[in-house]
Amino acid sequence: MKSQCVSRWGLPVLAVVGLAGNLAAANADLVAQGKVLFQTKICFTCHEVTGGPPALAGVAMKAPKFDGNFWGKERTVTLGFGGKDATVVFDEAYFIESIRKPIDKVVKSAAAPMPPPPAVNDQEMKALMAYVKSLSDGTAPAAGAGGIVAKGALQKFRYRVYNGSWSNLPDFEKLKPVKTGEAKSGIADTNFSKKRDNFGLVIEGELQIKKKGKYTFNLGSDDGSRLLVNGKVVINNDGVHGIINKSGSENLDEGVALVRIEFFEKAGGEHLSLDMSGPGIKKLQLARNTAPQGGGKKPAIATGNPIEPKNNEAVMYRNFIQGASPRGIGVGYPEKLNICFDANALNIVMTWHGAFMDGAKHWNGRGQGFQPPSGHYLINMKRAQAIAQLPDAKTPWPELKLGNNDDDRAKGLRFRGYRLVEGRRPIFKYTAGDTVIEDYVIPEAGALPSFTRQITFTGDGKFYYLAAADDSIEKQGNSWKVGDSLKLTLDSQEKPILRDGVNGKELLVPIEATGKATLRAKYEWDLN
Amino acid sequence: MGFELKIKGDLMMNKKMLLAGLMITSLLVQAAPKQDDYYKFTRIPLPEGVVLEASGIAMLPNGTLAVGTRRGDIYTVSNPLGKADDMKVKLYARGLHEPIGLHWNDGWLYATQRCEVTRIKDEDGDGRADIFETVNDGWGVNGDYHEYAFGSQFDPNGNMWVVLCLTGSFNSNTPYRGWCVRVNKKGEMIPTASGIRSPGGIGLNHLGDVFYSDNQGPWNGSSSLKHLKAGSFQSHPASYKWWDLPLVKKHMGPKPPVTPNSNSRIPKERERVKEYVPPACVLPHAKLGNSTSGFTFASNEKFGPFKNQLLVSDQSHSNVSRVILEKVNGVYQGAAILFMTGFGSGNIPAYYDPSGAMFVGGSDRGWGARGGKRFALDRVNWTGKVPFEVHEMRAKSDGFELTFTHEVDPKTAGDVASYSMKAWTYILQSKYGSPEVDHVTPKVVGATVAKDNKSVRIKVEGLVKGHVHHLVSGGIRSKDGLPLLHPNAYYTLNEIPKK
Repeated sequence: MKSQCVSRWGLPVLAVVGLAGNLAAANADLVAQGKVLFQTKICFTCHEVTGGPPALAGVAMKAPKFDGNFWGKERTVTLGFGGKDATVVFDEAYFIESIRKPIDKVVKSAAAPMPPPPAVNDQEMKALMAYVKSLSDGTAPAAGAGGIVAKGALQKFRYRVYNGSWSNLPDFEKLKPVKTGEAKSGIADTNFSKKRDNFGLVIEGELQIKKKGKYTFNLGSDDGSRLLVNGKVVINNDGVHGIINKSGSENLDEGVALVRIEFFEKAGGEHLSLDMSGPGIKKLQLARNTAPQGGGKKPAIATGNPIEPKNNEAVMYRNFIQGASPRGIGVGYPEKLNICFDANALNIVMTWHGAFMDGAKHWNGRGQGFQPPSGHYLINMKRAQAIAQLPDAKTPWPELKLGNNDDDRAKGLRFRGYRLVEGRRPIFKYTAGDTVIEDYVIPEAGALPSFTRQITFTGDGKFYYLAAADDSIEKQGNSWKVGDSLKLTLDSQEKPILRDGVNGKELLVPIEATGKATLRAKYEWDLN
Repeated sequence: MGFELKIKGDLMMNKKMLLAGLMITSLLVQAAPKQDDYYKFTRIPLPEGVVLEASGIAMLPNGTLAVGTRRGDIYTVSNPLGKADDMKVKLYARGLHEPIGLHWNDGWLYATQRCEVTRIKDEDGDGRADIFETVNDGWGVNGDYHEYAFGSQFDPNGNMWVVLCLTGSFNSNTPYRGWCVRVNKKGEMIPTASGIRSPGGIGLNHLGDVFYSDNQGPWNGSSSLKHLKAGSFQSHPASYKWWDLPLVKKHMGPKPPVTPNSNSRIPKERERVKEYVPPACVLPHAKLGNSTSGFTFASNEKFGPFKNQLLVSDQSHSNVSRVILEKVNGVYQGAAILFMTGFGSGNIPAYYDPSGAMFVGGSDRGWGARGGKRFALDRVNWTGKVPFEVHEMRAKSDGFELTFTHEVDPKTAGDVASYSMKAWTYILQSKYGSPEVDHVTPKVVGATVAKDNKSVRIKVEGLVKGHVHHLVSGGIRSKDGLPLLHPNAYYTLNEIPKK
């Protein structure tokens, strides 16, 4: 009886031991499967993961990210979208519920409930859950794991903020910081700088390494950054760029490791992230980015799909372009001159040099938001209509109310599209009654490219062209200085009229069309 | 099973039995027909660097296929009806604003961009478009990614029907969001129907009636195919906001329809809101898809015996269902039956070429899809073999009439045990979507096979007006012993016919 008992119980015990080993392997398999499912079930389009690509759709929807230490933690949800608040624990039950019934408990900060994903079966659910669980960095109660001190890992943490405009990391030791400080947070953040453009940061701290071994760091930044550990460059992520993630590894002994992060931000998008993994640590966050992004002062600029003129042909980009109405039409010319024609205002509302546009914002995820022009020397023109039929030169220029309805459309004009002429350059067309107005940009290459705007009227009538509108317009020889950086030269039969109006100073050119009339205005950059 | 074993036992001893065994085996193989036996897919090969997130498909008179993309390009595919190896993809136009809906008409290629209806021409004949004329841009757009515009082919009266997605999917923040407008060739815009939420496709049936698909969300318990007619209301009241616009008043009357009550049911609200047109056919959420999108129909018999049935795609499930509609008491309604699966990406546009080819393309950007590819364009051709399917399903006062693509085995088709039915509906509410509610189990109490064995009249106790009736005809066999390729049919019973 006794021996029988041993044999009956002995076997299962062995099996359990074997199972424990298998369980770890099985979990690794599950995580791997889950990682694939995270793609195929399109979770990735909204839920950003640490070190993963930016989930642009998720930014728009304010979808929760899977980074940091989230598993087992409480989160605030609403019961139904927009419903009453409640608190849930992010655990297995909640995970499954939120996939099966995404509308029941919606994370409060989300801008929309999660659309139901493609069907997830029970096995897939297990795998997805294993993967998502593995993303939680386990920094909190992972005591005894013996890797490193947890959350806020940087000890004796100091930072220095510098102001300046660089294209590569400067030698910060030769510069004078505008601000220095100590931070108890133990986590690096670009928010130490009050400025959001043209600044640099040096962040130094100590890490307590509890276990000798190879540690891997993952540094992401926009613009440039580098990581030094114990004075040695482990990752170089220098230069002006969008978010780029780079990895590097270093063997560390038990004891203190000195960590130094250098970072600079020129203009546009801003990002800094650093995490590490190694013996006993899955993922530990060392740097983050809490500076206002998209919706704040400075929207995140998506990069990665540059659109450039090719084969000596102009290229067009019709989309939500920052600085124009939602009916923006960008044109990039091979002369390195770009314009944005606004099909609501029926005018050129922006012009700039160099790189034309980047499609990344609109070509990834759902494409929410307005993309600013790439390039440089951007000039924002007044968003007013170019042409108006006024009874006299004293009548106020039609005012466009920038908003979401008909009030921001040009008055008395109708957009008719465009045709492409040689080099696929567009001639924009709009009508005022029976009069057809054709609007054509002739760019000129050079150190500072310029352009001539040629407007042709076919029909009869008396019109005015708003050649410029700005806070200051001054006559300079045969030209006009408009604002800080534009030089305008008019080629027209009629004498222009400078007046004060709803758009500040307004420079009006009268046009009397009988059958046909053409006027030209040359716009040059004057940076003096 | 026992029979099979017996054959195995006898096999070695008797050559005659061996032959019988082979016959049985072939019958068993035949018993598991696959989609591939009937419809063949050809994936259009794309050159490196071409991102063909297909959003519109139109055949040009020169026999090349124009395909619009979400990135704003239009490509042409030469030899689109031939072998994949002989096709060439070329850029035709660039820089449009997420055009959805591409149609050839009167010598122009019409594209509906987010911001306008545009007609496009290649005047110098170099294979690239050079004229882009704005036909109408009378609606508002304010920078929200959800504000899509879907344009139909022109109707027999020369109007293009355009459905305009809401801002986000809950609000209408700029004029005509949540509206259907018509645009005529003179460039005039006519406000036509209110209540749109988030369209996935728009098109005409063979009679010239206009339909669009709307997606699950607020005021839409499930995705569905809806009938658009002038003056109608399609469920989401956010669109009422623009009733003060003179053009709306002119074409739609002085006042908006009564606002539907939330947390209600469609049949109930139809009684209150007389302009309310119920979904012609629900494509039950999670069963036939999550996101009904573009559709087309075979205008002839070259795509199998399904002429004039609407072939409706789903973005998320990468599939196409057949929607078989009829009019009862003046209201469109009908059945949805899965037709084919396995498209490459998230289906958006569908186009039928009269040669017998259906083109379906799409993208999974922002809204994932089972297909798995980021973007794809597939062509489907019929092999000439007819699958055993429910051909049509029509409502009767006391049940349904089913017709079949093949003669049925009268024994199984005449047995009520071959059928089962469930029915449910959805909450009509301002909140997002709805679970299936008000479940009932109507009982199939009679099944009478017609003399020609091509149709069956089933008698059902417990039909519910407004419910989706899910009929499973799992027990039926064809004359040749085949089960239905797709035994599930979902009939939206807006109206129960009188005797």
